[in-house]
Amino acid sequence: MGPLNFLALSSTLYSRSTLGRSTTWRKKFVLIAFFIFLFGLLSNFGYSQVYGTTTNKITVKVQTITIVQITGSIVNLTVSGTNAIAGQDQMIATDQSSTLLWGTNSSLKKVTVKTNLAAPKYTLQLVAVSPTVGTAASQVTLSTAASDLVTNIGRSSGSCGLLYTAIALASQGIGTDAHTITFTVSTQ
Amino acid sequence: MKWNLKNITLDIVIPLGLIGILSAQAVYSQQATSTQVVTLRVVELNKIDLVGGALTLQISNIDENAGQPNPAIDASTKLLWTSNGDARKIAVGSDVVSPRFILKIEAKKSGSGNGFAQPEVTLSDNSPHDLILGVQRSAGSCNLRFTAVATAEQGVGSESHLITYTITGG
Repeated sequence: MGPLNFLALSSTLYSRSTLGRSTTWRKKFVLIAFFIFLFGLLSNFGYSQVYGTTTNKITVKVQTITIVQITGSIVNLTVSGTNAIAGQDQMIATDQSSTLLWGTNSSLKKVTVKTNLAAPKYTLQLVAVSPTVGTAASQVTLSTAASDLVTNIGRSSGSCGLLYTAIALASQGIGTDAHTITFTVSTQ
Repeated sequence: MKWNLKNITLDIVIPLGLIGILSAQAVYSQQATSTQVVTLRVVELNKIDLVGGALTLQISNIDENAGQPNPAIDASTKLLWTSNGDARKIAVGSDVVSPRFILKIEAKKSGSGNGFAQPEVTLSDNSPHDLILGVQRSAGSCNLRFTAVATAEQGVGSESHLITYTITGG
């Protein structure tokens, strides 16, 4: 029952009751009716604004995320006659067809590189070309020990070109080296 | 609590082991790796080149004692080669089938690389002649000494040779 309805009902009851014949009782009745009306008004006002409350605690937790990926997973380097100069023992072939991509939300990170080939016949070198983030290390000769490729890549996503340089000597003859190159994002 | 082997194992060793394993996993989770296959292939190659372009051998004086023209000699040309093959040789040949004058060539091996210079070769026809033997997995060089010989009976004239140097199986 709303406050206006309650006020109308109270007025009707008052006019029909014997209390309405006494001035003192009339004043009391009006005062009580007023307070009852005010209480009803405030009660209805409160109910119209809040129907219910509840709380929910949400914790967002971001863990250390580190990813590294290569586009162009296979590289074939061939040292052939086009790479040779008569009178020079050293022959060189290069490849820059692949790109290294990384992402890390942790600071003080670097990218290292190593090969699985313990005793390669020929020399294979690698350098990061134009990294979007971080600092490219100088050209490294690949070995089974990890060498820095890009440093200072903390909290970033970036990429760089991979420039491979194969060096063969005439005295080393013909042959094939198969490398599996591993790139690692690790703590600097 | 009584400290016996069972209690020590349950209360200390196993929890510490679990902490160690979890710590190691935490460290690994901060690393990421990716791999790439790189195949480096070296095929057989043979390169040969000359330093020094066209040259002219001019016979212009006579040995008065012998009564014959003096030979003309030039040693300004250098031959360079690179081969990663085994048991190769360098041959030389002229395109002149029946030369009027005599043209001889000799490799003067003074540079680097292996190989054995052969005695002076007379380019008397257009067939290849051995110039250097035993070239094997090396880069080398030598000077070329040309000698032109003419007799008085052959008179005057000129003759052009196109000399070809070839690395072949030896």
